[in-house]
Amino acid sequence: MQEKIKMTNQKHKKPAIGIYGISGCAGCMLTVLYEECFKDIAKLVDIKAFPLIKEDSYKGEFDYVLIEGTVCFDEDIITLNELRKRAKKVVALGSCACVGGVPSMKNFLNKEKTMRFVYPVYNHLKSTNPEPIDMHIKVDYYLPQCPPSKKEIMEFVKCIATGREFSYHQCKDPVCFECRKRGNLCLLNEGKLCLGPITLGGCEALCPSNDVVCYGCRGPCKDANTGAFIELLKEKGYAEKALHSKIETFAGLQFKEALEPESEKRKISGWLEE
Amino acid sequence: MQKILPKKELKSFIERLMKKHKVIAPVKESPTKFRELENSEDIKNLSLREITVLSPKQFFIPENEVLLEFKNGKVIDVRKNPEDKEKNRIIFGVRKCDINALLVLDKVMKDPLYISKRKKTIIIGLHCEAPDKYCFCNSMISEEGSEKGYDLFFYLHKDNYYISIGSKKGLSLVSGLQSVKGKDEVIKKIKNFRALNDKGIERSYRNKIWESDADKCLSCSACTVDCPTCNCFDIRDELDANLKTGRRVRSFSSCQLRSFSRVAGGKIFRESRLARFKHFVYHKVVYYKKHFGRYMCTGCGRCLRVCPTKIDWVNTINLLNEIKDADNKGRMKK
Repeated sequence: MQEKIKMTNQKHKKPAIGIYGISGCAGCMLTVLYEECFKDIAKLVDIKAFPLIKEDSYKGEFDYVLIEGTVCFDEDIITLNELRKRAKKVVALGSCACVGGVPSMKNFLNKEKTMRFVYPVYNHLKSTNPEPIDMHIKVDYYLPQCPPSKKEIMEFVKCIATGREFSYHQCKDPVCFECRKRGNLCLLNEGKLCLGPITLGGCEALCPSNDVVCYGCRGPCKDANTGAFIELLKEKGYAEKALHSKIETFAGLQFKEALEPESEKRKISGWLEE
Repeated sequence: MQKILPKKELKSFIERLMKKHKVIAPVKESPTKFRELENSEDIKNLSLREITVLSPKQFFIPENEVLLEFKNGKVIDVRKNPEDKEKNRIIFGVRKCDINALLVLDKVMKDPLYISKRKKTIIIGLHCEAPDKYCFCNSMISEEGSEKGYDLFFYLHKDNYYISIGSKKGLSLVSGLQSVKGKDEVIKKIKNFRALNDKGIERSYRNKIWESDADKCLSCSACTVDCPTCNCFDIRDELDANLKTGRRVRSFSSCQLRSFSRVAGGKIFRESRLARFKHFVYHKVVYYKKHFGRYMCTGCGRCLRVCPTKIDWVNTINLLNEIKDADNKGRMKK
């Protein structure tokens, strides 16, 4: 313990970080670039590589690598494995990297039809089933949400700059807790299909506070009572199809594990571990 | 002694209060909530019948409250001189259940920030004309009349407000009004549509009946956040981006959350939903009463009203009375 305190007090070297993206919209990397947080991030950490804004010529090792996007192609897996080898810790940035995000919807649709709907010519595309990155490499930290919250990114950066453990500072409660604290009326009680009770909080209930239902972009909350939640929605008269399409919008893969605990386990995902 | 105020003059009465004080009252918005009145438009939109989602607790225990600030290794304790700049404030239109809730909080909140806020606030109560099917306040009064808890209390009778006076501060606000003769005073009782009878609760801690309620619980914490007497909190340190300044913040938390009873080393004391749910109910009805002689629950019915799965623990407690001793697997641990 004494040693640890000494370490944090010392003026240690700024952590070297890299910010990369695989298949994705680059929105999460763009969030890092917001004026409110980027000037502080640049002061606190040493950004060695950030291909979105500067040429990627760095070949050394990283302390932390932030990765955005979903695994959609075989090339993505190669990139991931290469980054994992060069980094001490890997951080999943945004919903896609953490829980699969919008692209993971394809897992629940007719693949052929979906491809034809999106691309006129698709024969040259060799896409796989979209999956979050922790199904392929070990992920140490998660910064979920679509796009990730600036406050949470800043908290992460402050933690790595001072040597504190980030996961202790992360919210582990459902969205409802923050929503109720803001004095909102419950959207479920108003008859809307809101995923707040089963979704991990930390977003300060951004959507429900603006009268938009929660789509579960932060993935499932570990403590979620999904059985009772589904039961409630059925009582309210929601069709199974409506429920599934809502859940599959962002974190279908993760919720599937949470909803059907007895179903066949896919590759181990670190999301619900502690 | 009571004072009398014609119903029509309520607006001008509040306007008069606003000149010297910050006046907080329930305003019709979506949803109706207690907030500071800013202009005469707000007075027009007063919503005195509807029960607010959040109770006036939020003005005494804010969601986030700074306890200390630190700067370059030096610590400034905010609690030593709390909020000198704040104007005296009046909370108008507080129901009896919420006044009782403040009395409950007074017994446990011994922190200077809370006490200074309480001292600077004048409470003007209002008789509840429209209790709904969730209210059960009459069942939860255990020392009726011994403590008032209000500075002024309004009863609406025909076209007049009859004002009971609870303190000197309150009297100074209504000194200009006409007094009522002793025999003409108006004191009303609230009509409830439900009651709570806790005869059977203490011996039924291990009764299976709790499981059916806990199975429905989503652990969304709505009951505890909206409860006027819940006061559990979490304390964390916030560091600014310069890594030199920061503050220690006390923020509202809830016993229904799994993370609430988590301690260093990762141990969680109340891991099961059943344990968390029962703790809430027993704290409100049994544990607090053992220490302080009154129920912690004030019967405002907010927890029942906001629950998304409509868990009716009051009904469960009433059912327990009908269950004979033999049906209980074990007694509550002493």
